[in-house]
Amino acid sequence: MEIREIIESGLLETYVMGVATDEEAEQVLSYQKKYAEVRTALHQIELDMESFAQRNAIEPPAGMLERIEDHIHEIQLRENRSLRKPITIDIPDDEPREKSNPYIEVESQDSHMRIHKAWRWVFAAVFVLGKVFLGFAIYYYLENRQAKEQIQELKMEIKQHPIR
Amino acid sequence: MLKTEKQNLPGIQNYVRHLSQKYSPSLLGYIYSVTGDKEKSEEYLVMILSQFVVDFNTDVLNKNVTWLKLRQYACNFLSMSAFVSHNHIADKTKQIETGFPENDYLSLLDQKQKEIFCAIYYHGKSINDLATALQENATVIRNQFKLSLDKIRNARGN
Repeated sequence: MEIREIIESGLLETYVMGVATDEEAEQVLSYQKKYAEVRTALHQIELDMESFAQRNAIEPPAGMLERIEDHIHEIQLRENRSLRKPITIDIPDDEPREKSNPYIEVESQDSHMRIHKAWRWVFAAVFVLGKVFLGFAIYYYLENRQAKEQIQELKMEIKQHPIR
Repeated sequence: MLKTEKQNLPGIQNYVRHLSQKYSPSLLGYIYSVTGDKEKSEEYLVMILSQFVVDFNTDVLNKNVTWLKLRQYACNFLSMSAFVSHNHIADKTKQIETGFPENDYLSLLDQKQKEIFCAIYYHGKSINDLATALQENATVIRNQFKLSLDKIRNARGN
């Protein structure tokens, strides 16, 4: 097969699309090794397909990267969980299940904890409220101490100048 | 202090950002051409890119990802979903045409070329399967596919 024939046969396009048979793929790989023109043609098809895809591109909505990152994280967690040893629970056959403890004690080996992002507002609110209450507590403590001091002074005055 | 397990992600975060910036628009356009549903396409984009990063993390880290590799991965992923019916190539072509009017390049192709191009490019059908489905010779299918690509390339001025 001549180089032009190879390029015109459509074999390279089939290979680049990933739908070539094993035999066809082997053929393309051997042509690729032998002929620089085939290498150039393959590279050109790849570039053409990429620019063709770019022409039909749609801009994803904002926040897509975060969604992808979250999903990668979920997949990683799922895979980590499936790699762990399964928990086996031995319940004696003679013991009726209704009588046994309905709760299963599971001790996680993971020291980390995942929480929903929405909780950050709850934590922020608890933190702010904590500060407000602390402020009130200090204010009323000082107020109370001042009142006590005033009462003490009044008592002293009364003792020094008794009412006749 | 509460700690999430996201700490193992930052290592790959920049690469994911690079991959996403480079290929998300093309991939979303591709997925939308297959599904014809914008919302579903966005969901699929998230699923496909995430799974790709997990499956080909070495390539992602070495920035060794090509559009064709990603497209083929997406094609396989979508062909396993309910969107692709391998027995209805012609219907699918119709759906792509009506569901994606900006796909003006399809109008350059005749009916048979559209069927062949869509079946291969969007649904990853092999030449032999297509030849059987369309009752044609594999060489004819291959030539028609090449002709469709040439038409698209020529229209782009290549």
